[in-house]
Amino acid sequence: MSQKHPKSSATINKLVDELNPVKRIFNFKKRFIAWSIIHVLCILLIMFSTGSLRPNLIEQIKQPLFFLELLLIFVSMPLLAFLLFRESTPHKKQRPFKTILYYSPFIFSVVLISLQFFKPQFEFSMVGKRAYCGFEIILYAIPLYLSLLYLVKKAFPLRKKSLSFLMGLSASTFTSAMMNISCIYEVKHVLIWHIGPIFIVSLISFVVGLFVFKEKK
Amino acid sequence: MSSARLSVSQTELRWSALMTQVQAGSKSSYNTLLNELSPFLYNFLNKRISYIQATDDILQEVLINLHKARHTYQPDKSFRAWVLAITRNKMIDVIRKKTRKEQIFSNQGELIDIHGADEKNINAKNSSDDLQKIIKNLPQKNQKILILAKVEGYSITEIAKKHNMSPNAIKQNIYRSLVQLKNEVVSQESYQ
Repeated sequence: MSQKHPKSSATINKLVDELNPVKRIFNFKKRFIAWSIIHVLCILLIMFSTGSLRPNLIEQIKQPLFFLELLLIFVSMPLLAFLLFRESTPHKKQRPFKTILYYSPFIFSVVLISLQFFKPQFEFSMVGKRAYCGFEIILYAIPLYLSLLYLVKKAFPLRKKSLSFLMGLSASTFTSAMMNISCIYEVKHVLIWHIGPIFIVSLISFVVGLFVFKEKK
Repeated sequence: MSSARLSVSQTELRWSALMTQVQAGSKSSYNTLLNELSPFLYNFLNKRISYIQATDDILQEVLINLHKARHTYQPDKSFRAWVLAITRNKMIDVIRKKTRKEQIFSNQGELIDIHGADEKNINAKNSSDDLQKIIKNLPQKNQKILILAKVEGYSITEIAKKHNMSPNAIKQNIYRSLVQLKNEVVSQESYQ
């Protein structure tokens, strides 16, 4: 334990010289709760000021499969955001199984929607159609994504690539879930215009993250 | 609880307290903390990485990262887990960067085949005397280039300038020399 490392002693001296007091960042749970509440309130406000819920939603929600699918997609936003904030600071290594658990509601909800290609739950209906649902998801995700980028960059993310992707998912999943209860519900439409934008935002987020989190040499 | 475990947790508590003072800007605590941490981290890295040069380099980078991340430490969380998460991440980063190159020589003179094809065979031959003999079989120019690149750590561009050659030609030269070395090591291994 008492080995001397000339290189590290020089680094230590330099770091000690450069030391300034720092303000400790908030616990990740506090940051997660604050961001999620603001996120949900903003989206609800925008969605209800630009439209309303689908008129036949109450009847549809009685279908157990549809209810389960909605539940899963609504649960996935807080889970993904929790994982994101947790991963944004160095912490005890998490088991891969646990990480998969956080992603699983989102994956299952997409699988449940896709399965309806074979056996649709509802007859085709245009009730509640929003003209620009897909674009709305992308548009609303931008400020949410930027706020996440700021918060995550302010922390010290270690797994930058997966976090970059996760930021996009967290910023767009809730809006997509809201679209599933306000816009039309038809498998192809939901997959292309409600779920598709989530992946577009996540891919953009991934690419942006590669540049933003790139270590300076 | 055993006395060893008790002392480990006491050390951790001490480090955690020092880190809290560091966040407030105490230079003396920082000096103490880093001086106590570096041998611990060095041993942690050394157990996982065989070549000493890399261990030293990673330790520098880990210390710099600890400095950058000091605002993220929460006193109610495990200090050890926080430090080791940063260390492990940096270690993986550096190893990944190194694996991009086909093969590397450590300063101890052992040839490591990163793709692992003949890693066992080659590692068995890590005596620097044997390796030097094999290197001497290479043409003079190739020997010089290989030593500059893999032992003395010159960049491809620097070597290209020294030898008035293009960087691509230097890369090819190094690659051919490494292949030749590998074949010789493997053939000697099969004779034995």
